[in-house]
Amino acid sequence: MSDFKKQMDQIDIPKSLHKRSLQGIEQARKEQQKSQRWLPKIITIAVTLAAGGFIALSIEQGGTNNHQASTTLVQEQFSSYIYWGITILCISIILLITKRKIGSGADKVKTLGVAAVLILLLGNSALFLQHQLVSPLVIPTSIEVNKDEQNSFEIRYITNHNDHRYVKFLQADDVILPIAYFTSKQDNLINGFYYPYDTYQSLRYQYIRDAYFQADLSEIEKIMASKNVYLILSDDAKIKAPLSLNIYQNDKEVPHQSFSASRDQDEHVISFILEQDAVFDDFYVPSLLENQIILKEFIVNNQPFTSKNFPISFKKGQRIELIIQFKDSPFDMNASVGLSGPDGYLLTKVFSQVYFTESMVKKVREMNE
Amino acid sequence: MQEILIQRAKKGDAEAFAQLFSQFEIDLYKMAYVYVGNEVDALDVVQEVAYRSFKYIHSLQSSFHIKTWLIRIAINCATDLLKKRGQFLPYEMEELEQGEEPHEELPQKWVMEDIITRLSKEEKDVILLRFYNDYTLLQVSQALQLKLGTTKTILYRALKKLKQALEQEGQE
Repeated sequence: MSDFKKQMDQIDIPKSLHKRSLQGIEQARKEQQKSQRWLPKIITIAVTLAAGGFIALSIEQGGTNNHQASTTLVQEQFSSYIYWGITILCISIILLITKRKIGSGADKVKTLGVAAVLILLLGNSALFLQHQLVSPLVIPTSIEVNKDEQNSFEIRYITNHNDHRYVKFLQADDVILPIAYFTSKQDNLINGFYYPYDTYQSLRYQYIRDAYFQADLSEIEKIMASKNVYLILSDDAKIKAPLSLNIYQNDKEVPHQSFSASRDQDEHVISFILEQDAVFDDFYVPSLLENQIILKEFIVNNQPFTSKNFPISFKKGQRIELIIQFKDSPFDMNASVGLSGPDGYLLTKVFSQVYFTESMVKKVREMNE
Repeated sequence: MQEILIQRAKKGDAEAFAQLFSQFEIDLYKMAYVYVGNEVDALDVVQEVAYRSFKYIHSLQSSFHIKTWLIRIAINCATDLLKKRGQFLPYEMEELEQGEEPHEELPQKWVMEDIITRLSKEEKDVILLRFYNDYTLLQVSQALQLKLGTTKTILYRALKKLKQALEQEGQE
Protein backbone atom coordinates (compact mmCIF):
# COMPACT_ATOMS: atom_id res chain seq x y z
CA MET A 1 0.00 0.00 0.00
CA SER A 2 1.40 3.39 -0.94
CA ASP A 3 2.15 6.02 1.64
CA PHE A 4 -0.65 8.12 0.26
CA LYS A 5 -3.24 5.44 0.90
CA LYS A 6 -1.83 4.84 4.37
CA GLN A 7 -2.21 8.50 5.17
CA MET A 8 -5.71 8.51 3.72
CA ASP A 9 -6.58 5.53 5.90
CA GLN A 10 -5.47 7.47 8.91
CA ILE A 11 -8.27 9.97 8.40
CA ASP A 12 -10.68 9.35 11.26
CA ILE A 13 -14.10 8.20 10.23
CA PRO A 14 -16.76 9.86 12.37
CA LYS A 15 -19.37 7.58 13.91
CA SER A 16 -22.14 9.69 12.50
CA LEU A 17 -21.02 9.10 8.88
CA HIS A 18 -23.55 6.40 8.05
CA LYS A 19 -26.30 8.32 9.83
CA ARG A 20 -25.53 11.39 7.72
CA SER A 21 -25.65 9.28 4.55
CA LEU A 22 -29.06 7.98 5.60
CA GLN A 23 -30.23 11.54 6.28
CA GLY A 24 -29.31 12.54 2.72
CA ILE A 25 -31.10 9.50 1.28
CA GLU A 26 -34.17 10.15 3.44
CA GLN A 27 -34.30 13.77 2.29
CA ALA A 28 -34.24 12.68 -1.38
CA ARG A 29 -36.87 10.01 -0.70
CA LYS A 30 -39.23 12.53 0.89
CA GLU A 31 -38.84 14.88 -2.08
CA GLN A 32 -39.55 12.05 -4.49
CA GLN A 33 -42.73 11.15 -2.62
CA LYS A 34 -43.73 14.79 -2.61
CA SER A 35 -43.24 15.08 -6.36
CA GLN A 36 -45.09 11.80 -6.89
CA ARG A 37 -47.99 13.08 -4.81
CA TRP A 38 -48.18 16.16 -7.01
CA LEU A 39 -47.93 14.27 -10.28
CA PRO A 40 -51.47 12.82 -10.29
CA LYS A 41 -52.87 16.25 -9.34
CA ILE A 42 -51.02 17.95 -12.13
CA ILE A 43 -52.14 15.27 -14.58
CA THR A 44 -55.76 15.57 -13.45
CA ILE A 45 -55.75 19.36 -13.73
CA ALA A 46 -54.03 19.33 -17.12
CA VAL A 47 -56.30 16.66 -18.59
CA THR A 48 -59.40 18.38 -17.19
CA LEU A 49 -58.32 21.71 -18.65
CA ALA A 50 -57.48 20.15 -22.02
CA ALA A 51 -60.76 18.25 -22.14
CA GLY A 52 -62.76 21.28 -20.92
CA GLY A 53 -61.18 23.55 -23.50
CA PHE A 54 -61.75 20.98 -26.16
CA ILE A 55 -65.46 20.59 -25.33
CA ALA A 56 -65.97 24.34 -24.93
CA LEU A 57 -64.45 25.03 -28.32
CA SER A 58 -66.44 22.21 -29.92
CA ILE A 59 -69.72 23.56 -28.55
CA GLU A 60 -68.82 27.04 -29.70
CA GLN A 61 -68.06 25.71 -33.17
CA GLY A 62 -71.29 23.76 -33.38
CA GLY A 63 -73.42 26.57 -32.06
CA THR A 64 -72.04 29.33 -34.23
CA ASN A 65 -75.01 30.84 -36.00
CA ASN A 66 -75.17 32.70 -39.20
CA HIS A 67 -75.07 36.15 -37.64
CA GLN A 68 -71.56 35.35 -36.52
CA ALA A 69 -70.75 33.30 -39.58
CA SER A 70 -69.81 36.09 -41.92
CA THR A 71 -67.27 37.43 -39.46
CA THR A 72 -66.01 34.04 -38.45
CA LEU A 73 -65.67 32.85 -42.01
CA VAL A 74 -63.15 35.58 -42.66
CA GLN A 75 -61.25 34.49 -39.60
CA GLU A 76 -61.50 30.80 -40.41
CA GLN A 77 -58.17 30.44 -42.16
CA PHE A 78 -56.53 32.47 -39.42
CA SER A 79 -58.21 30.36 -36.75
CA SER A 80 -56.56 27.17 -37.94
CA TYR A 81 -53.17 28.88 -37.48
CA ILE A 82 -54.28 29.97 -34.01
CA TYR A 83 -55.27 26.40 -33.09
CA TRP A 84 -51.91 25.08 -34.16
CA GLY A 85 -50.06 28.01 -32.60
CA ILE A 86 -51.73 27.37 -29.24
CA THR A 87 -51.11 23.64 -29.63
CA ILE A 88 -47.42 24.11 -30.34
CA LEU A 89 -47.14 26.49 -27.38
CA CYS A 90 -48.88 23.98 -25.09
CA ILE A 91 -46.70 21.13 -26.38
CA SER A 92 -43.59 23.21 -25.72
CA ILE A 93 -44.78 23.88 -22.15
CA ILE A 94 -45.54 20.18 -21.64
CA LEU A 95 -42.07 19.23 -22.92
CA LEU A 96 -40.48 21.82 -20.66
CA ILE A 97 -42.39 20.59 -17.60
CA THR A 98 -41.59 16.98 -18.53
CA LYS A 99 -37.89 17.78 -18.78
CA ARG A 100 -37.96 19.51 -15.40
CA LYS A 101 -39.93 16.73 -13.75
CA ILE A 102 -37.50 14.10 -15.03
CA GLY A 103 -34.61 16.32 -13.99
CA SER A 104 -36.03 16.56 -10.48
CA GLY A 105 -36.23 12.80 -10.16
CA ALA A 106 -39.80 12.00 -11.24
CA ASP A 107 -40.41 8.56 -12.73
CA LYS A 108 -39.14 8.83 -16.31
CA VAL A 109 -41.52 6.32 -17.92
CA LYS A 110 -44.64 7.66 -16.19
CA THR A 111 -43.77 11.29 -16.88
CA LEU A 112 -43.03 10.61 -20.54
CA GLY A 113 -46.24 8.59 -20.79
CA VAL A 114 -48.31 11.43 -19.38
CA ALA A 115 -46.60 13.93 -21.67
CA ALA A 116 -47.27 11.71 -24.68
CA VAL A 117 -50.97 11.39 -23.76
CA LEU A 118 -51.32 15.16 -23.30
CA ILE A 119 -49.55 15.90 -26.57
CA LEU A 120 -51.80 13.43 -28.40
CA LEU A 121 -54.88 15.01 -26.79
CA LEU A 122 -53.81 18.50 -27.80
CA GLY A 123 -52.84 17.47 -31.33
CA ASN A 124 -56.14 15.66 -31.74
CA SER A 125 -58.08 18.67 -30.47
CA ALA A 126 -56.28 21.02 -32.85
CA LEU A 127 -56.87 18.63 -35.74
CA PHE A 128 -60.55 18.36 -34.82
CA LEU A 129 -61.02 22.13 -34.55
CA GLN A 130 -59.13 22.73 -37.78
CA HIS A 131 -61.59 20.52 -39.62
CA GLN A 132 -64.72 22.06 -38.15
CA LEU A 133 -66.93 24.17 -40.38
CA VAL A 134 -68.04 27.52 -39.04
CA SER A 135 -71.43 26.98 -40.64
CA PRO A 136 -72.88 24.40 -43.04
CA LEU A 137 -71.76 24.70 -46.65
CA VAL A 138 -73.88 24.17 -49.73
CA ILE A 139 -72.42 22.34 -52.72
CA PRO A 140 -72.68 24.54 -55.85
CA THR A 141 -75.52 23.05 -57.86
CA SER A 142 -76.76 23.40 -61.42
CA ILE A 143 -80.20 22.00 -62.15
CA GLU A 144 -82.26 21.97 -65.28
CA VAL A 145 -86.00 21.86 -64.80
CA ASN A 146 -88.82 21.23 -67.23
CA LYS A 147 -91.50 23.66 -68.24
CA ASP A 148 -93.93 21.47 -66.26
CA GLU A 149 -96.01 23.09 -63.58
CA GLN A 150 -94.26 21.20 -60.73
CA ASN A 151 -90.56 20.46 -60.50
CA SER A 152 -88.52 18.97 -57.72
CA PHE A 153 -84.81 19.36 -57.11
CA GLU A 154 -82.18 18.36 -54.62
CA ILE A 155 -79.48 20.44 -52.94
CA ARG A 156 -76.71 18.87 -50.89
CA TYR A 157 -75.06 20.57 -47.95
CA ILE A 158 -72.22 19.69 -45.60
CA THR A 159 -72.53 19.90 -41.81
CA ASN A 160 -70.28 19.07 -38.90
CA HIS A 161 -71.12 15.86 -37.06
CA ASN A 162 -72.02 17.84 -33.96
CA ASP A 163 -74.23 20.30 -35.84
CA HIS A 164 -77.77 19.00 -35.27
CA ARG A 165 -79.52 21.74 -37.19
CA TYR A 166 -81.46 20.92 -40.34
CA VAL A 167 -82.76 22.86 -43.34
CA LYS A 168 -86.28 24.22 -42.92
CA PHE A 169 -86.74 25.99 -46.24
CA LEU A 170 -85.13 27.66 -49.23
CA GLN A 171 -85.48 31.40 -49.53
CA ALA A 172 -84.92 33.53 -52.64
CA ASP A 173 -86.11 37.08 -52.07
CA ASP A 174 -89.85 36.67 -51.46
CA VAL A 175 -90.00 33.02 -52.54
CA ILE A 176 -90.01 30.51 -49.72
CA LEU A 177 -89.87 26.80 -50.51
CA PRO A 178 -90.37 24.49 -47.53
CA ILE A 179 -88.21 21.38 -47.50
CA ALA A 180 -90.12 18.42 -49.00
CA TYR A 181 -89.90 16.37 -45.82
CA PHE A 182 -89.08 16.77 -42.16
CA THR A 183 -87.41 14.24 -39.97
CA SER A 184 -88.25 13.98 -36.33
CA LYS A 185 -85.49 13.85 -33.75
CA GLN A 186 -86.31 10.19 -33.30
CA ASP A 187 -85.66 9.50 -37.00
CA ASN A 188 -82.19 10.91 -36.63
CA LEU A 189 -81.12 8.38 -34.04
CA ILE A 190 -79.45 5.12 -34.95
CA ASN A 191 -78.70 2.86 -31.99
CA GLY A 192 -79.15 5.91 -29.81
CA PHE A 193 -76.55 7.94 -31.67
CA TYR A 194 -77.30 11.01 -33.74
CA TYR A 195 -77.16 10.20 -37.45
CA PRO A 196 -79.36 12.43 -39.60
CA TYR A 197 -81.91 10.52 -41.63
CA ASP A 198 -81.16 12.58 -44.73
CA THR A 199 -77.43 11.90 -44.57
CA TYR A 200 -76.07 11.04 -47.94
CA GLN A 201 -72.61 10.11 -46.80
CA SER A 202 -70.40 10.55 -43.75
CA LEU A 203 -66.78 11.51 -43.37
CA ARG A 204 -64.66 11.67 -40.27
CA TYR A 205 -65.80 15.17 -39.30
CA GLN A 206 -68.78 15.96 -41.54
CA TYR A 207 -72.01 14.65 -43.01
CA ILE A 208 -73.28 15.51 -46.42
CA ARG A 209 -77.05 15.87 -46.28
CA ASP A 210 -79.84 16.22 -48.83
CA ALA A 211 -82.53 18.87 -48.98
CA TYR A 212 -85.42 18.27 -51.43
CA PHE A 213 -87.66 21.04 -52.69
CA GLN A 214 -90.66 21.30 -54.96
CA ALA A 215 -91.45 24.44 -56.94
CA ASP A 216 -93.82 25.54 -59.66
CA LEU A 217 -92.65 27.33 -62.78
CA SER A 218 -93.28 30.83 -61.45
CA GLU A 219 -91.24 30.07 -58.31
CA ILE A 220 -88.49 28.57 -60.44
CA GLU A 221 -88.37 31.73 -62.53
CA LYS A 222 -88.16 33.91 -59.42
CA ILE A 223 -85.35 31.80 -58.00
CA MET A 224 -83.56 32.02 -61.34
CA ALA A 225 -83.83 35.79 -61.22
CA SER A 226 -82.74 36.09 -57.59
CA LYS A 227 -79.17 36.66 -56.51
CA ASN A 228 -79.95 35.96 -52.85
CA VAL A 229 -80.70 32.28 -52.55
CA TYR A 230 -80.33 30.88 -49.04
CA LEU A 231 -81.08 27.75 -47.12
CA ILE A 232 -82.72 28.59 -43.80
CA LEU A 233 -81.77 26.30 -40.93
CA SER A 234 -83.87 25.15 -38.00
CA ASP A 235 -82.39 27.91 -35.81
CA ASP A 236 -83.20 30.48 -38.55
CA ALA A 237 -79.56 30.80 -39.56
CA LYS A 238 -79.10 31.53 -43.27
CA ILE A 239 -76.52 29.83 -45.43
CA LYS A 240 -75.73 30.96 -48.94
CA ALA A 241 -76.87 28.50 -51.61
CA PRO A 242 -74.96 28.74 -54.90
CA LEU A 243 -77.81 27.38 -57.02
CA SER A 244 -78.29 27.75 -60.74
CA LEU A 245 -81.60 26.73 -62.28
CA ASN A 246 -82.39 26.79 -65.97
CA ILE A 247 -85.38 25.66 -67.97
CA TYR A 248 -84.93 22.89 -70.50
CA GLN A 249 -85.73 23.98 -74.08
CA ASN A 250 -86.79 20.74 -75.71
CA ASP A 251 -88.58 22.15 -78.75
CA LYS A 252 -85.40 22.57 -80.76
CA GLU A 253 -83.90 19.15 -80.19
CA VAL A 254 -82.53 17.10 -83.10
CA PRO A 255 -84.04 13.59 -82.93
CA HIS A 256 -81.55 11.07 -81.57
CA GLN A 257 -80.92 8.25 -79.16
CA SER A 258 -78.46 8.90 -76.36
CA PHE A 259 -76.56 7.05 -73.65
CA SER A 260 -74.26 8.45 -71.03
CA ALA A 261 -71.81 6.92 -68.62
CA SER A 262 -69.17 8.29 -66.30
CA ARG A 263 -65.70 7.11 -67.12
CA ASP A 264 -64.25 8.26 -63.82
CA GLN A 265 -64.73 11.10 -61.34
CA ASP A 266 -63.55 13.70 -63.82
CA GLU A 267 -64.73 12.38 -67.16
CA HIS A 268 -68.06 11.51 -68.67
CA VAL A 269 -68.80 9.85 -72.03
CA ILE A 270 -72.05 10.63 -73.85
CA SER A 271 -73.06 8.69 -76.96
CA PHE A 272 -75.59 9.90 -79.51
CA ILE A 273 -77.01 8.12 -82.58
CA LEU A 274 -78.54 10.67 -84.94
CA GLU A 275 -81.95 10.02 -86.46
CA GLN A 276 -81.55 12.77 -89.10
CA ASP A 277 -78.76 14.69 -90.81
CA ALA A 278 -77.63 17.76 -88.85
CA VAL A 279 -74.88 20.38 -88.58
CA PHE A 280 -73.42 21.34 -85.19
CA ASP A 281 -71.05 24.20 -84.53
CA ASP A 282 -70.67 24.42 -80.73
CA PHE A 283 -70.53 22.55 -77.45
CA TYR A 284 -73.49 23.26 -75.19
CA VAL A 285 -73.50 23.37 -71.37
CA PRO A 286 -75.68 25.37 -68.92
CA SER A 287 -74.24 28.83 -68.32
CA LEU A 288 -73.20 28.13 -64.68
CA LEU A 289 -71.10 25.21 -65.85
CA GLU A 290 -69.42 26.85 -68.82
CA ASN A 291 -66.13 27.11 -67.00
CA GLN A 292 -66.58 23.84 -65.12
CA ILE A 293 -67.18 21.42 -67.98
CA ILE A 294 -65.15 21.29 -71.15
CA LEU A 295 -65.44 19.17 -74.27
CA LYS A 296 -62.26 17.16 -74.30
CA GLU A 297 -62.93 15.53 -77.68
CA PHE A 298 -65.63 13.79 -79.68
CA ILE A 299 -65.34 10.67 -81.73
CA VAL A 300 -67.15 10.01 -84.99
CA ASN A 301 -66.43 6.82 -87.00
CA ASN A 302 -63.48 6.14 -84.67
CA GLN A 303 -61.97 9.48 -85.63
CA PRO A 304 -61.29 11.98 -82.83
CA PHE A 305 -62.28 15.64 -83.21
CA THR A 306 -62.06 18.68 -80.98
CA SER A 307 -63.98 21.98 -80.75
CA LYS A 308 -61.55 23.43 -83.28
CA ASN A 309 -63.10 21.19 -85.95
CA PHE A 310 -66.55 22.85 -85.70
CA PRO A 311 -68.77 23.20 -87.68
CA ILE A 312 -69.25 19.54 -88.63
CA SER A 313 -72.00 17.95 -90.66
CA PHE A 314 -73.30 14.61 -89.39
CA LYS A 315 -75.34 11.99 -91.21
CA LYS A 316 -78.38 10.11 -90.02
CA GLY A 317 -77.40 6.93 -88.11
CA GLN A 318 -73.92 8.19 -87.25
CA ARG A 319 -72.68 7.56 -83.71
CA ILE A 320 -71.10 10.53 -81.92
CA GLU A 321 -69.25 10.06 -78.64
CA LEU A 322 -68.63 13.18 -76.58
CA ILE A 323 -65.96 12.99 -73.91
CA ILE A 324 -66.53 15.76 -71.43
CA GLN A 325 -64.27 16.70 -68.62
CA PHE A 326 -65.20 18.13 -65.22
CA LYS A 327 -62.83 20.69 -63.87
CA ASP A 328 -61.42 20.58 -60.38
CA SER A 329 -64.06 22.75 -58.68
CA PRO A 330 -66.73 20.73 -56.87
CA PHE A 331 -70.37 20.96 -58.02
CA ASP A 332 -73.48 18.87 -58.44
CA MET A 333 -75.37 18.90 -61.70
CA ASN A 334 -78.52 17.53 -63.21
CA ALA A 335 -78.58 19.33 -66.54
CA SER A 336 -78.37 18.86 -70.29
CA VAL A 337 -75.08 18.76 -72.10
CA GLY A 338 -74.43 18.22 -75.81
CA LEU A 339 -73.97 20.01 -79.12
CA SER A 340 -75.77 22.93 -80.70
CA GLY A 341 -76.05 24.18 -84.24
CA PRO A 342 -78.36 25.69 -86.84
CA ASP A 343 -80.51 22.53 -86.92
CA GLY A 344 -81.12 22.56 -83.14
CA TYR A 345 -79.68 20.89 -80.03
CA LEU A 346 -78.29 17.42 -79.52
CA LEU A 347 -78.62 17.05 -75.77
CA THR A 348 -78.74 14.52 -72.99
CA LYS A 349 -79.18 15.00 -69.28
CA VAL A 350 -76.08 14.43 -67.20
CA PHE A 351 -76.54 13.71 -63.54
CA SER A 352 -73.34 14.09 -61.62
CA GLN A 353 -72.62 14.53 -57.94
CA VAL A 354 -69.19 15.40 -56.69
CA TYR A 355 -67.59 12.71 -54.53
CA PHE A 356 -67.73 13.51 -50.84
CA THR A 357 -64.11 13.49 -49.76
CA GLU A 358 -62.05 15.59 -47.37
CA SER A 359 -60.38 17.33 -50.30
CA MET A 360 -63.83 18.18 -51.67
CA VAL A 361 -64.82 19.69 -48.30
CA LYS A 362 -61.62 21.69 -48.35
CA LYS A 363 -62.36 23.00 -51.85
CA VAL A 364 -65.94 23.97 -50.96
CA ARG A 365 -64.59 25.78 -47.88
CA GLU A 366 -62.08 27.64 -50.02
CA MET A 367 -64.82 28.65 -52.46
CA ASN A 368 -66.81 30.08 -49.55
CA GLU A 369 -63.93 32.07 -48.10
CA MET B 1 -25.63 -7.84 -6.14
CA GLN B 2 -24.63 -4.24 -6.81
CA GLU B 3 -26.60 -4.35 -10.04
CA ILE B 4 -29.74 -5.54 -8.20
CA LEU B 5 -29.37 -2.81 -5.57
CA ILE B 6 -29.03 -0.18 -8.30
CA GLN B 7 -32.14 -1.44 -10.10
CA ARG B 8 -34.12 -1.42 -6.84
CA ALA B 9 -32.82 2.06 -6.01
CA LYS B 10 -33.88 3.28 -9.44
CA LYS B 11 -37.39 2.13 -8.58
CA GLY B 12 -37.28 4.28 -5.44
CA ASP B 13 -36.13 1.70 -2.88
CA ALA B 14 -34.31 3.85 -0.31
CA GLU B 15 -33.14 0.88 1.74
CA ALA B 16 -31.46 -0.70 -1.27
CA PHE B 17 -29.75 2.58 -2.04
CA ALA B 18 -28.60 2.98 1.58
CA GLN B 19 -27.08 -0.50 1.37
CA LEU B 20 -25.38 0.42 -1.90
CA PHE B 21 -24.17 3.80 -0.68
CA SER B 22 -22.71 2.33 2.49
CA GLN B 23 -20.15 0.49 0.32
CA PHE B 24 -18.72 3.82 -0.82
CA GLU B 25 -19.39 6.26 2.01
CA ILE B 26 -16.03 5.90 3.76
CA ASP B 27 -14.03 6.51 0.58
CA LEU B 28 -16.32 9.42 -0.27
CA TYR B 29 -15.86 10.87 3.20
CA LYS B 30 -12.06 10.66 2.95
CA MET B 31 -12.11 12.34 -0.44
CA ALA B 32 -14.44 15.02 0.86
CA TYR B 33 -12.12 15.54 3.83
CA VAL B 34 -9.20 16.15 1.50
CA TYR B 35 -11.20 18.85 -0.28
CA VAL B 36 -12.73 20.64 2.66
CA GLY B 37 -10.15 19.89 5.35
CA ASN B 38 -12.47 19.35 8.31
CA GLU B 39 -14.86 16.75 9.64
CA VAL B 40 -18.00 18.87 9.81
CA ASP B 41 -17.83 20.00 6.20
CA ALA B 42 -16.79 16.55 4.98
CA LEU B 43 -19.88 15.06 6.63
CA ASP B 44 -22.02 17.75 5.00
CA VAL B 45 -20.51 16.81 1.64
CA VAL B 46 -21.24 13.11 2.15
CA GLN B 47 -24.82 13.85 3.16
CA GLU B 48 -25.24 15.99 0.07
CA VAL B 49 -23.71 13.26 -2.12
CA ALA B 50 -26.18 10.74 -0.65
CA TYR B 51 -29.05 13.14 -1.32
CA ARG B 52 -28.07 14.00 -4.90
CA SER B 53 -27.09 10.49 -5.89
CA PHE B 54 -30.40 8.95 -4.72
CA LYS B 55 -32.35 11.77 -6.33
CA TYR B 56 -30.65 11.28 -9.69
CA ILE B 57 -29.96 7.54 -9.55
CA HIS B 58 -32.28 7.09 -12.57
CA SER B 59 -29.75 8.98 -14.70
CA LEU B 60 -27.00 6.44 -13.98
CA GLN B 61 -26.43 4.70 -17.29
CA SER B 62 -24.36 1.72 -16.23
CA SER B 63 -23.85 0.06 -12.87
CA PHE B 64 -20.15 -0.36 -13.71
CA HIS B 65 -19.70 3.36 -13.36
CA ILE B 66 -21.34 3.76 -9.96
CA LYS B 67 -18.10 4.53 -8.13
CA THR B 68 -16.87 7.06 -10.68
CA TRP B 69 -20.33 8.59 -10.73
CA LEU B 70 -20.40 8.98 -6.95
CA ILE B 71 -16.87 10.41 -6.95
CA ARG B 72 -17.93 12.99 -9.54
CA ILE B 73 -20.89 13.97 -7.39
CA ALA B 74 -18.61 14.20 -4.36
CA ILE B 75 -16.21 16.47 -6.26
CA ASN B 76 -19.13 18.68 -7.35
CA CYS B 77 -20.57 18.84 -3.83
CA ALA B 78 -17.18 19.71 -2.37
CA THR B 79 -16.71 22.40 -5.04
CA ASP B 80 -20.13 23.86 -4.26
CA LEU B 81 -19.33 23.96 -0.56
CA LEU B 82 -15.97 25.63 -1.17
CA LYS B 83 -17.63 28.17 -3.44
CA LYS B 84 -20.20 28.88 -0.77
CA ARG B 85 -17.40 29.45 1.74
CA GLY B 86 -15.47 31.59 -0.75
CA GLN B 87 -12.57 29.17 -0.66
CA PHE B 88 -12.73 28.14 -4.28
CA LEU B 89 -10.18 29.62 -6.66
CA PRO B 90 -10.46 28.89 -10.36
CA TYR B 91 -7.53 26.88 -11.59
CA GLU B 92 -5.11 28.71 -13.85
CA MET B 93 -3.86 26.30 -16.41
CA GLU B 94 -0.18 26.52 -17.08
CA GLU B 95 1.36 24.44 -19.80
CA LEU B 96 4.31 22.24 -18.94
CA GLU B 97 7.61 23.76 -19.89
CA GLN B 98 9.52 22.03 -22.66
CA GLY B 99 11.52 19.10 -21.40
CA GLU B 100 9.78 19.21 -18.05
CA GLU B 101 8.86 15.59 -17.30
CA PRO B 102 8.54 15.08 -13.56
CA HIS B 103 8.06 11.60 -12.16
CA GLU B 104 4.53 10.50 -12.03
CA GLU B 105 4.88 9.39 -8.47
CA LEU B 106 4.13 11.03 -5.19
CA PRO B 107 7.16 12.13 -3.16
CA GLN B 108 8.16 9.43 -0.71
CA LYS B 109 7.76 11.68 2.25
CA TRP B 110 4.85 14.04 2.27
CA VAL B 111 2.13 15.09 4.55
CA MET B 112 -1.61 15.03 4.04
CA GLU B 113 -1.71 18.61 5.28
CA ASP B 114 0.15 19.71 2.13
CA ILE B 115 -2.41 18.12 -0.12
CA ILE B 116 -5.24 19.72 1.79
CA THR B 117 -3.76 23.19 2.04
CA ARG B 118 -1.46 23.65 -0.91
CA LEU B 119 -3.26 21.98 -3.80
CA SER B 120 -6.07 23.52 -5.78
CA LYS B 121 -9.37 21.71 -6.13
CA GLU B 122 -8.47 20.45 -9.64
CA GLU B 123 -5.12 19.17 -8.43
CA LYS B 124 -6.81 17.33 -5.57
CA ASP B 125 -9.23 15.79 -8.10
CA VAL B 126 -6.39 14.33 -10.10
CA ILE B 127 -4.23 13.27 -7.14
CA LEU B 128 -7.11 11.53 -5.37
CA LEU B 129 -8.29 9.66 -8.43
CA ARG B 130 -4.81 8.70 -9.51
CA PHE B 131 -3.23 7.70 -6.19
CA TYR B 132 -6.15 6.96 -3.89
CA ASN B 133 -8.56 5.32 -6.31
CA ASP B 134 -5.79 3.91 -8.53
CA TYR B 135 -7.22 5.26 -11.75
CA THR B 136 -5.00 5.42 -14.80
CA LEU B 137 -4.37 8.87 -16.24
CA LEU B 138 -6.80 8.07 -19.05
CA GLN B 139 -9.48 7.05 -16.56
CA VAL B 140 -8.82 10.20 -14.52
CA SER B 141 -9.23 12.35 -17.62
CA GLN B 142 -12.47 10.55 -18.53
CA ALA B 143 -13.86 10.80 -15.00
CA LEU B 144 -13.11 14.52 -14.81
CA GLN B 145 -14.04 15.09 -18.47
CA LEU B 146 -10.69 16.64 -19.21
CA LYS B 147 -8.26 16.18 -22.06
CA LEU B 148 -5.50 13.71 -21.30
CA GLY B 149 -2.86 16.40 -21.82
CA THR B 150 -4.63 18.74 -19.42
CA THR B 151 -4.92 15.97 -16.84
CA LYS B 152 -1.17 15.30 -17.12
CA THR B 153 -0.43 18.99 -16.76
CA ILE B 154 -2.56 19.22 -13.61
CA LEU B 155 -0.98 16.09 -12.17
CA TYR B 156 2.59 17.24 -12.79
CA ARG B 157 1.81 20.66 -11.41
CA ALA B 158 0.39 19.09 -8.27
CA LEU B 159 3.41 16.84 -7.82
CA LYS B 160 5.73 19.78 -8.32
CA LYS B 161 3.89 21.75 -5.63
CA LEU B 162 4.12 18.87 -3.19
CA LYS B 163 7.89 18.51 -3.83
CA GLN B 164 8.40 22.21 -3.32
CA ALA B 165 6.44 22.00 -0.08
CA LEU B 166 8.63 19.13 1.11
CA GLU B 167 11.80 21.04 0.23
CA GLN B 168 10.58 24.07 2.15
CA GLU B 169 9.70 21.94 5.14
CA GLY B 170 13.17 20.27 4.92
CA GLN B 171 14.92 23.65 4.98
CA GLU B 172 12.92 24.69 8.02
